[in-house]
Amino acid sequence: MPLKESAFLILSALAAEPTHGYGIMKDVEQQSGGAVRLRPGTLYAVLAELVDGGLIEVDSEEVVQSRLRRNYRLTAPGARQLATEADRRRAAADTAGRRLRTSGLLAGGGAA
Amino acid sequence: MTTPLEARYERLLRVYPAAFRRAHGEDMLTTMLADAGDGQRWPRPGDAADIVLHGLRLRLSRRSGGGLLGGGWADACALIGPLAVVTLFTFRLTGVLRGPHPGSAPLLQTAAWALVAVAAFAGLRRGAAVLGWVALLAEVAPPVRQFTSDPVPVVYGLWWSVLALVAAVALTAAGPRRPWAVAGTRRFAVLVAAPSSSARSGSSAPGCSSPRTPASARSTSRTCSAPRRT
Repeated sequence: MPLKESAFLILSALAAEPTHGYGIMKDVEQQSGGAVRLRPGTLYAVLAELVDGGLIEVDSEEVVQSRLRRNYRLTAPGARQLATEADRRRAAADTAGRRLRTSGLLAGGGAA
Repeated sequence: MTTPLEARYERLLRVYPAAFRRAHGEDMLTTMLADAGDGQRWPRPGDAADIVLHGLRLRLSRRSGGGLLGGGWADACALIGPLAVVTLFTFRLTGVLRGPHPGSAPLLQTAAWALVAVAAFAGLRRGAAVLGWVALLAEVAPPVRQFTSDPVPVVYGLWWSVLALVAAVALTAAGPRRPWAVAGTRRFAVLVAAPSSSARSGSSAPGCSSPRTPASARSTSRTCSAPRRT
């Protein structure tokens, strides 16, 4: 089953390095060029799902300013799933770009 | 030290089932505080709505025993049931005290809700549920009989029946927790006091259910009484 956008972006964030909730939030915002801002409720719902599915796991827990902070990391199945998903999305994007170029629907001929 | 924002986030997180909160609550709080802007005092409305949505979805999907429904709903019903009963009893009693009535229905209804309230507050869950359905019957029977001859007041008084149905269903589905344990003693006291104070000041519409009484005939502001003033 294809990953939903938020899960894809979270896995991609963790592919760079293990990080905490806020780190994931910022990375997702950056990756998507500011288009996706994960709200905390959504972020933690997806994190819980991904942990349940074995795609990510808790890397470490630290106490920062007397507050618990949990770092997550990508698991091997998570990395495989992310690779599959990236291929699928790349193929879909290529198809869309090719069709747009040949159809001439984009009058300005923007980079596809 | 707990800042106001932190306290508000913590309160917001209570919408989640306890198990989820135990697993993620503290870490989530850390993330939200890191994400908060300087001088931010309240959760962003969008974030709050998002948390409420996910919290309720988890409560709906996860059954955690106790009552007919999952933990969250069992708790909600344990609170809503007694509150609805207190409201019904208060308004019925106010109606009875206000003036003479044709027939014994309001007296019967008042007595029925009083019994339900006693059972509910004594913690007799099953008893309260059974009595709740009996009281619902007492509430619904008169308007059903009246509907063919005089439907207008029945329609205006429909909220009685609806609230009575809510009470009966909630009492039946209620979990084992006591209402004041669910809401917190102080908040529960305020919730209980609300219907009684509004009944005293007459800000609700108890007169609508018995339009024949002089009390409601006097109140010109109530649209539901208007058809009776001929």
